[in-house]
Amino acid sequence: MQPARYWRDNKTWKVWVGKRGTVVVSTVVTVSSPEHAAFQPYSYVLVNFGTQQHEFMGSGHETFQEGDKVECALRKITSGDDRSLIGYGIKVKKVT
Amino acid sequence: MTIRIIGSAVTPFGELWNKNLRELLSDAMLEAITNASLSPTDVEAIFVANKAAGNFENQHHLNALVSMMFPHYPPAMRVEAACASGSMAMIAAELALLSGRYKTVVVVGGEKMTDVSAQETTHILSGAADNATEIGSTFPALYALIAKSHMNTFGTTRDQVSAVAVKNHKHAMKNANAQFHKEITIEQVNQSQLIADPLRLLDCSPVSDGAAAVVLSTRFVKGSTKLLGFGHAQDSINLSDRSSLTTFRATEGAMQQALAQTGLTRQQLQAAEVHDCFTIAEILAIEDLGFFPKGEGGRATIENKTTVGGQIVINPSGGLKACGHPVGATGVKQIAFLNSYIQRGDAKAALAHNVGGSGATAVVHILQK
Amino acid sequence: MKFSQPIGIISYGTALPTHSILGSEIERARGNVNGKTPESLGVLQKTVAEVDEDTITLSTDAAFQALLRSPEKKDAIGAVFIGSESHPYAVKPSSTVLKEALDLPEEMSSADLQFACKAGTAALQICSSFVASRMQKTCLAIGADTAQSRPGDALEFTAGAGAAAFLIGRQHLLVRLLATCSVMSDTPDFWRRPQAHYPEHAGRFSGDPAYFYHVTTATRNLLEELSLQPSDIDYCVFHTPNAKFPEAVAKQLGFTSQQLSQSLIVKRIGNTYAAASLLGLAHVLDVAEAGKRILVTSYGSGAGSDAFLLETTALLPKSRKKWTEFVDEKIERLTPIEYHQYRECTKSH
Repeated sequence: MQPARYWRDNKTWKVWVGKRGTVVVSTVVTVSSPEHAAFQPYSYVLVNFGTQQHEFMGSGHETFQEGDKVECALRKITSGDDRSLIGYGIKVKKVT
Repeated sequence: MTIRIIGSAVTPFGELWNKNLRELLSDAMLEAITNASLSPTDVEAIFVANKAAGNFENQHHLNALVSMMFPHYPPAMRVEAACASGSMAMIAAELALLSGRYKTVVVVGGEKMTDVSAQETTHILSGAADNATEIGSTFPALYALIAKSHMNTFGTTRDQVSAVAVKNHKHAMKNANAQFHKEITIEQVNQSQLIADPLRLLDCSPVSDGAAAVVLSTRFVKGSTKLLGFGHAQDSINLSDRSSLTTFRATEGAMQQALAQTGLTRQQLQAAEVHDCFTIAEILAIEDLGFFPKGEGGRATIENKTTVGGQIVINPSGGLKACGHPVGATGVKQIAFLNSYIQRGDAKAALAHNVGGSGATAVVHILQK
Repeated sequence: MKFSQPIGIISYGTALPTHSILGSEIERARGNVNGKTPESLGVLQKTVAEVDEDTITLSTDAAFQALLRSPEKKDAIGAVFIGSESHPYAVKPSSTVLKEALDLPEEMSSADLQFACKAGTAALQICSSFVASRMQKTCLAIGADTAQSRPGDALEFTAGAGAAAFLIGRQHLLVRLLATCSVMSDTPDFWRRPQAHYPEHAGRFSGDPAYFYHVTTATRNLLEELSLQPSDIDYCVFHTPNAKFPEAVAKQLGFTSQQLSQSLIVKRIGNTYAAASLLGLAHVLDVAEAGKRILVTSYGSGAGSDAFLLETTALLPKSRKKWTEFVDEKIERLTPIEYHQYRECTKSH
């Protein structure tokens, strides 16, 4: 992840961390772009947050069903080599 | 003022290891110009469609590249609208002709995709999504969400979705330029590798090289196909801001405009090349274009209403799935293919439907003998 | 060092990954289906961080819970210290990432800490000193790790992942911090060079001269300063490289198994390194009633120990009634994975 892009994006994390919503629909990505390859297979989820919808990657290898309650959390969103800036961002995890 | 297609050409689509992008563009343009009985210096301007040569091979400035293929360096413009680049270049050309600035122009679309790995291609194509709000998405993933929604809402079945691929492969058997000349079965689609559930490998259009070109003119050429009109509509680039996951409002809007401009009805169309980047995309297309009621596209397909002998022939070329999908070429190839289709008498009027991204851009063209 | 004014814990939060691996599964992967290493260590399973989790994400999750439970506004936080052996960067602090994710104030003192497994309690001490000196009103102390262990090594059975976050201040105290002291010496029982992915350890040398010497010395020094006996303490928490060491040191010091038992979550989550003592403390606080004295002594290889005496207030059981997501619930939710999945998850940590 490029440093300036990371720096602009990190201002948006606080909007989402802890926010809860409901899964509208979800799929599992088995073939992804290289920067997400380390996370394969991962879920890609459309979430309804009440006032808006948003798409997020699922945390870890979690799978989701329509209607699942989820919460936004900080996770790694890109995988690079051991020299690159670590790309953090928002993913959703199931709420129990 | 009537715009006519006075020449067209499509290169073979597939893994064309021995052809580079400029050769593909050049091959298509030369053949189209020859078919139009013109010489290169008759071309007043070129509109080139390409999605991602900048990513695939770090080649930008394609307008300059195609212009220098002509001895007189005509003015040229590159147009990009993701997978709708081809039809968007068509629109740019049509507006230029309608303005009276030019009388005869070439539209060429091409893409060279197979030099990079599948994973890199996935990454490049994902650039058609919103890189701010759709992080981690791939095109299969976005259409998988659409497929699941359609299945959950309307009961569209796995077999119905697979039937799109089966039909298009069958159609491609008669298209010499198609990437695949192999019939497949519903079972083979259902059991192919999972890419993003529920979409499987055989639900997805392939990675392809290829180009297509048309010569458009406002001069009268007897017997030539008329480009009667077009519609162009947009929706949000991301799925989360859509009002529906099971309808492409952009397709509905583009179709309304095209029908209004041309005065034709749907019943007057015998064939349509629609944007089946994924099997579910064809089901949405035939519903949103109004050929079948919403939710009935899957059933219509499996009941053979969208093949020869049915209500309307959808994707007689084999579509993106079986003919191939060199992204920038597709929108132009649809026009070029339908031109030939109409010229040989297989249809009197036909429609081309080209979509960008996960439905954010839609263009509809109507052609008539 | 006694604290003369009221300072202590306003709130706390914890984070565990969702996966675990059973010690028996590690034995099976080694071809020792009847192996007894897990039983001998007293660690039957350990937590495993996912491929997209690390010390920073676990710290953020734990701190988020602490802030959620806190009656104080987060704009009063003036310092954050994160102690870990697995900070994702050798140069670039973990705390700044957490600051952005949790929208903490820009005016903030911070540094990442390293003192092996006692880096988390070092954070607690430093935060306490900021508050006690009135340099800051509230501070956030975090211990977090995604511990590394070489495949085939004994540490593979215990090196786990987790985080605990404590908000320290002067008001709304759930737990009063009464005193703290530390000891240290250059004792090379366990180390990791910067370019090395896995640590080295000195086997049985990490027992008496290392863990036992420092834990017993720090504990006795603190009790002596306070003129207290083990019998004056309700709960004791010792660092948990496994379950056997804290059991043995408790006995050496004169504590009973009843005083120790509430802190021994190591049996179910493994050694969470810089989070271990703090997670043990959190588990005690999840159940302790008002007016209970808690002794915590951590241990960090290399080597040193931090000892603390704490006392719960009536606000603790009262506040707990409003909370969810206690440590035991998180442990109950752990889903075991197979060894090959564990290797996939841990290769990036």
